[in-house]
Amino acid sequence: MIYFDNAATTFVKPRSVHYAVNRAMRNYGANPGRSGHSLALAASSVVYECRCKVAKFFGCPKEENVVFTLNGTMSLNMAIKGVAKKGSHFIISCLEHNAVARPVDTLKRRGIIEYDVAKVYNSDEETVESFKKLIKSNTKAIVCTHVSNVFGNVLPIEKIGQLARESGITFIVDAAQSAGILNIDMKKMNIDILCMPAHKGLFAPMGLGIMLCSSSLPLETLIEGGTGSASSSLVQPDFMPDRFESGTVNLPAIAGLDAGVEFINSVGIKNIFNHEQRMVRYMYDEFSKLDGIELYTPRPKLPGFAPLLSFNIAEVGSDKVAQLLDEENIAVRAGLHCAYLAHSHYGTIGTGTVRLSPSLFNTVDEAKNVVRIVKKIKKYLS
Amino acid sequence: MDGKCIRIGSVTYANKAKSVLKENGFRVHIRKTSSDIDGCSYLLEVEKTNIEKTVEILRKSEIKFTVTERCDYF
Repeated sequence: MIYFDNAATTFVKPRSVHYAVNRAMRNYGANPGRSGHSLALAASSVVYECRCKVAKFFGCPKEENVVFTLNGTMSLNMAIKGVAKKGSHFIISCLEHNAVARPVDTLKRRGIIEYDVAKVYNSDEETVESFKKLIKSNTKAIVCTHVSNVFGNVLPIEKIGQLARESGITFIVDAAQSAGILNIDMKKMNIDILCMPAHKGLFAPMGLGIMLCSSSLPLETLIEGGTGSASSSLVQPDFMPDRFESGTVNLPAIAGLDAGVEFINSVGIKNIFNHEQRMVRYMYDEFSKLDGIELYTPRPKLPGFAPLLSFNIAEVGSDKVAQLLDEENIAVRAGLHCAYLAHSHYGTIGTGTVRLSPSLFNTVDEAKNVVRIVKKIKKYLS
Repeated sequence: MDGKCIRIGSVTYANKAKSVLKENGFRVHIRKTSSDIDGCSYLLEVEKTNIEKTVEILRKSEIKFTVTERCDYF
């Protein structure tokens, strides 16, 4: 099997992640932050160490501002709904995943907020300008993805962050596709809240998300409950991370995340990016030579594009192509990728796209095989 | 530690306090307690130091805590 569906979740994971998860399950699988016995305290220490590592990795000023959630979607819902105030205005980009678009649209349908969608261009200046034009006196937040999960566009986060900072607007970033692939520095990029799943570029198991806050923002809570702290009060704690961490955290996944971040640090994020980009560029260049292969973006390279690639075989549904690839033992994702806005922007709502997303654990030879099989499928379908 | 204890309201800050104090060369042990004051909390046992020094380090690190005479909340 050639696994080119790493934008959905990375597979394979580093061995060190397997070992860390296994150690947590076997050696200290107690509930962190609840009981007082030595195993529970050992577990809480592992969680704390991971907070420190994640905070440092993303330039978050305090480790206690690292909140562990269930997944990236939950992190985004907590951030968006936590910031929203009745009568406020939001701006999102035209490339958002439904994890951003749906909560924002839900708030609109409930009569709580209004929102506008900023167009993304190949030029950073034009993109920033399109956000700027939409700012109103009641604009409360800009929410945008760092990297499109369908087309790989890298948004000029630092510049949009600067615009948000200058305008006194909360800046929320969805780093689902960029965490572990591109450098992210919350301070430098003026990011107020950074959200992501841990199971993609950070190599942790599924069932863990992260929300990092640059400061102790006055966010409303989405979920309340037991935090192992201030238990004699019915009022949800007002301090981080407890305010946003009701219920037991996913200790084995957090142990895996710790190992995943350590692994990325040891390999080097730039090396990971370059390796993935080499494969994507090879496939892009080969597809460019073929009639009847539709590509939607310029040749992927920084700063504009991250290493994932969407394509179609002309007049064939993306699901059909993905099915034929699967029969050749190649795993990809087809369809709309939970990104209605992005497909609307590129005019691919009707067909969806076939998305190729290699990881560090793939090889250029595998990319060559994928190209060979796509050629074979194209010939078979013509 | 002068017969006094540091009490901290959450496990994250207890671990942070332990980490900060360890960086300053102190051996620290965390104990969970269920006080009648504000529910669950953690007591820090810090070896070979005085309370003033510990308090100074924790304040610099912006960790919320209280100093308590009682180290036996069990």
